[in-house]
Amino acid sequence: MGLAALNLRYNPFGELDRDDRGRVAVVEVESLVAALRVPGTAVQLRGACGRGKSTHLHAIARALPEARYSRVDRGGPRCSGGIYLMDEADHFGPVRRWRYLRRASSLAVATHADMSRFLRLCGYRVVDVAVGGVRRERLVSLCDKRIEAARAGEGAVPSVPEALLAKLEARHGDDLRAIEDALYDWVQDLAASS
Amino acid sequence: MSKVDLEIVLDGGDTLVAGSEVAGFVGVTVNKACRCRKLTVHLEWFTHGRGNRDRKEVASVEVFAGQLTEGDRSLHPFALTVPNGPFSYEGHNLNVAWQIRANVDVPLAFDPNIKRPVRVVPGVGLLLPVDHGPRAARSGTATARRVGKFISAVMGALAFVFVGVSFLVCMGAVFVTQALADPEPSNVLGAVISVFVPSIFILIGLGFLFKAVRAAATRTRLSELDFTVPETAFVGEAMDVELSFRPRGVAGVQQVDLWLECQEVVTSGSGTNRRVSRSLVRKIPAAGLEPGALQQGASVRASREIPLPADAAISFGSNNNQLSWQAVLEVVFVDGRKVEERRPFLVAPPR
Repeated sequence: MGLAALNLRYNPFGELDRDDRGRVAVVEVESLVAALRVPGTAVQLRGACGRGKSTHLHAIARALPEARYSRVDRGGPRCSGGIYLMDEADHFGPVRRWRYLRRASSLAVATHADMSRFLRLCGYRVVDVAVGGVRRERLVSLCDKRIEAARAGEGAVPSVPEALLAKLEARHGDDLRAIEDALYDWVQDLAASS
Repeated sequence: MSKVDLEIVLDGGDTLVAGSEVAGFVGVTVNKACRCRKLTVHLEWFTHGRGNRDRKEVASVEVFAGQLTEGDRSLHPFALTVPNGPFSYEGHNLNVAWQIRANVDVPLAFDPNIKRPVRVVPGVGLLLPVDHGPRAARSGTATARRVGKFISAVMGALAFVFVGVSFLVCMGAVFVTQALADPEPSNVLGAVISVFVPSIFILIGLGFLFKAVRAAATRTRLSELDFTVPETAFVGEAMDVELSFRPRGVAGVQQVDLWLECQEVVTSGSGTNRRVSRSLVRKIPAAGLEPGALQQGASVRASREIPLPADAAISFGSNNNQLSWQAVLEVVFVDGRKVEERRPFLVAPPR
């Protein structure tokens, strides 16, 4: 029976479509969305791998349907005007990066390195956001939202035990990607034993 | 804005047989009269699991366009042909799922849609070619892949050596000169670190290089290697595997093992977050070679019939997700060194 026995359509902690990632994101982007509505603003989402930079961009894209999301390392498009959401911005050198974003009225970039100086040189007012750090409530909320989104129908669905979350938090800190990866295996084990 | 309720009703069950026709109807109810630009029914597959999702629509049909009347439940029949693959699959890292999706194109509103999961299973005696997915077959010959692997291993090792040497020449020279001119403890410590850290890089690089060259050298102990597997094997049938080689050099062959293995290989994330996860689904061992067949210097020639069980997974491949089969030959020499040869093949549904 597998995942169906758990009343799930898919493993909630696997990879999701871009829209689904935006839907289950547990991030507060209202202030960033408000900032992006002001032309000439660059929101810099800065943090290590797996901390939720792309998730922030997906949540912004969901709140701002007119914004254009681009994953530039996968051949995403250049900005042709309006609000531009540039993922993996440090994949390019400064010149190529400038070519991609020069037409943006305002933009959000996800990056590992600090680009605020570059963005100021391009004429933007920079809002720097350090992405990372996860509180237990946010983690619980993230798990619940993901499981709800994968629900197959009425009835009970699994819930992640507090003890497991505490253990994963102690082991992986704020690396959400690593926590999700461990929870993926937890769901697969549940499905195999059901 | 009107509210549109959709439902999909199938004539048969949720299990669709490849090559057959899936028929049913879409029921549409609206609480306010509205115009429907088109009502379309799609048959599509998608992957889910640890890898990035891939999807493909294989058939679609437009079943209605016109005015929808308030309160009425209109029924719109459809029929679609189920293709011969890819087939539904549930695994650890990878799942291949199918669904029928209906969506209504309504002017100036979000288009409502409904999805109904279905399973696609192989048909019997189909003459249609099997669709294993857009990226099922592996490209390149075994030799090309081996050479490619060797080159990338050597390049990686040389990169470590290059970084180490560069730092040693640039930083080491500066710090060592400074320490010689002014042997203060901090300068001496700087000199030691500037020599020690790049040396670690150089040693790691040389280690990788040694490993790559050693593996390539071990491979040359087998001459005239011929390891042949069919391009496609069928579930429930035995597949013929043939192998022959002549051992070279002083180290004799101790053991020859042969097996088939099925792996889920999925790619998640991209760019700096890109990660490839592998999970062994199944391993089917074949009878090894008898010790008498492994005399030093003598050619080894054998053939094996390896049965593929009735529940063997059918090969699948898309951009980020692979369910791949390989035949593996492992030759173990008396000094413990090993040579491994892999040959990919496709597994097709029963004939």
